[in-house]
Amino acid sequence: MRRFERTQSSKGTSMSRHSPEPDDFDVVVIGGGVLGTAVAARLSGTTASTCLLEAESDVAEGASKGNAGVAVSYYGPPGTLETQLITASTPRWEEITGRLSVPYRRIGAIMVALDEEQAGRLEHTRDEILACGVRAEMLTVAQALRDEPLITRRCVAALSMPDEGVIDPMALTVAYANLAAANGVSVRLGWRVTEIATLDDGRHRIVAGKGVVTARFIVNAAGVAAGRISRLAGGEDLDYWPRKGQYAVLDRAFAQALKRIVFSTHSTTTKGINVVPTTHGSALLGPTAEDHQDPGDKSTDLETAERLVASASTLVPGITEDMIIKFFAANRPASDESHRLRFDRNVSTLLHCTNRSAGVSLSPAAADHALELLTAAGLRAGPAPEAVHVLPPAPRMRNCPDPGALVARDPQYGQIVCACEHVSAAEINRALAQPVPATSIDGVRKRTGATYGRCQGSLCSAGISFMTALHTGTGPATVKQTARGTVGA
Amino acid sequence: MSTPVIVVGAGPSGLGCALALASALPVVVVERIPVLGGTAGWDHPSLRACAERAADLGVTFRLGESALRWDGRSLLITGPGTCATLNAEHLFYAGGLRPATAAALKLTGDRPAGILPATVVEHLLQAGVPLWRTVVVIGEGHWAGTIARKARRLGSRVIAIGRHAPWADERHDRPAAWSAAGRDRVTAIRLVYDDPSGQRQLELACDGIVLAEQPVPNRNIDGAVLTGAQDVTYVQPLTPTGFQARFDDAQRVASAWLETHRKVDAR
Repeated sequence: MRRFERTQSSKGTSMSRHSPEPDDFDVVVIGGGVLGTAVAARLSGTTASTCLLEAESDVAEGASKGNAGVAVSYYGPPGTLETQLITASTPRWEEITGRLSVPYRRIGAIMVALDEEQAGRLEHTRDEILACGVRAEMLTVAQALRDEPLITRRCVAALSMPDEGVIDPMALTVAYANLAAANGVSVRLGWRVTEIATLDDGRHRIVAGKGVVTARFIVNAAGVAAGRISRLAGGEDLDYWPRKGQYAVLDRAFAQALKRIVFSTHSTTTKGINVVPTTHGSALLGPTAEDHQDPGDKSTDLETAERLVASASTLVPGITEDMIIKFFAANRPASDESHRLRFDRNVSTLLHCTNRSAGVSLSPAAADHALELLTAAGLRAGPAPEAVHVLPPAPRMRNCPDPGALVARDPQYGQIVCACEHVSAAEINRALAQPVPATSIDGVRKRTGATYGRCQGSLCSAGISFMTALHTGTGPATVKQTARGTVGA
Repeated sequence: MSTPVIVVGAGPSGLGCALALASALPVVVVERIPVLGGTAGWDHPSLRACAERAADLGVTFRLGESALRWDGRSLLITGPGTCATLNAEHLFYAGGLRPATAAALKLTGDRPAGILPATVVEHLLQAGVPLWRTVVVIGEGHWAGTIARKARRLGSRVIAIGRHAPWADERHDRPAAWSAAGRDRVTAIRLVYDDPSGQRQLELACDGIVLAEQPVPNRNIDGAVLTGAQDVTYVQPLTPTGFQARFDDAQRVASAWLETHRKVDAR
């Protein structure tokens, strides 16, 4: 297996060896979320030429940056494609995250029942998990409290799900994109698709604000915008709407003591509010599920924020309001088909690839399956012998067991920029100089965790804005704070 | 020679601790910025005398190095090209203050660009970065006035939310609830008041929001975050605010610790 190198592989900038036009590709993937980048990364290991179009100025700007960061082992009933893809992905996380240097911990989950009625439903959930071929085991109250001492003593029964893990979903998406770019996928950010036409030879002509590309196949991984893309391409009239999830972030001074993901018992309609440790040591409380109409609405509200903390503290009673360091919200793509990985019924070269909320968890197997479907439909995509499959290691000072060795290797590791999360200048400069680099303070946060801690950037945002301005060739006023807005007016 | 004590932070509080302790024990001062002074500024007139006394007493300074982890006996520190574990019998943490976060203030709503902590704004304004035309300054922390005066000199209109704001063009009382609005960049702040006659809402157009609410202590060394942390004394009083007052206060705290420590030692 080859390692990633700074100089791009020979496949790199040649755009396409199969096509005469410079902006013509075998496959155009629309959407730079976790599914789009996973498919692009998978295609980048083949001889097919691929382009990734993302409407925002960075990857992971939708549901992929606003989720709980759980690589689930179970999400729904057995027999569905969604479940098959999750089950196929579950055993692979250690290998994948090791290869792509993405933070991941298989810490297992515990689902807690607070009364006899919930305990009954828990057994039903256990049966469904076992039917999926996934491990799950009922625990006595004593076992549950040993398994996770921070859960409530009001617990009457619990279910252990040992194969669940926590992952950094933003780092995963960025890693997929970096791998794709390193293998020559043309990653185009700020390319919002406005028009898709079909040419005489059946190829698609895709128009975005910044230019035009053509391709034989389209992979529609546009998340909540997937309905719009399908209609533009002449495909089915698919209905997607935003389902907002609000979250609260819990300070790691308390959260790092959590040993397991703590799920509430599923009701018949919702999966409830959970307490999820992050790979950063903090924890997320959430999510809510609020169906609405405006994909741009990622607002939080006080009533929900307070309810999140109250719900979470029924599971883990040590949680109090003063431990909350941030509220945020994101929209996941809800649709009548919760998982859609299939060709369009009208347009045979349009492959839909979306999921309601388990996109991270099934992304490895979904990418494989997408490639199988594309190949079966006539895409020539043999293994590319020169493709790289491993990204360079991305150590972090925060949890490094031997910080001295890191500093000896690169003195910038010793220079801590984000004081709360202990993110060094080396890590920030790496985020600003990778194949799909950070171009905003938020982009640095998504890649490194800087500004994510308890002071929320009070100490380090100015320094990071200067570093980002240097790398992006802008000034401290014009440098971007978020994917869309600048620090200065 | 006995095990040293470590002081993290070389502002007025850290220096006060160091000088009070140094006559009795070896003292190491760790400061993440490569100069003394902390929030008082590296050019504060009282600094030279402090530095000279510290040198006479044999205080070791490790400037430009950050403290990362404390386990009750030793402190991991790093700086550009350096990494060391310092043994110590006690840690004095004088890491200064920061403004309360949006979450702590329960400022909800959109999360657009243009909402910044006061400490960051101070830094950017100092560097001459133009930030807004109309700015809402939330809170009454000591940053608020400084920032507002500088912003007005640069031609910005300043709206204050707080009880006392003689430096503002416009002032409103703190509401029962508030939220930010704006998709790309902040466009307004929405205030909700619980009036006797019912709820009253107010929307103020702005293109920047500064979080400058009353200061809260920085806590960023793993193992020295929670109040009950082992062998840690936090020296981050919210008041007083002047250099000398902070310095004196810290000296008292450190001397009191020294007294207790000696009694325990004698036993």
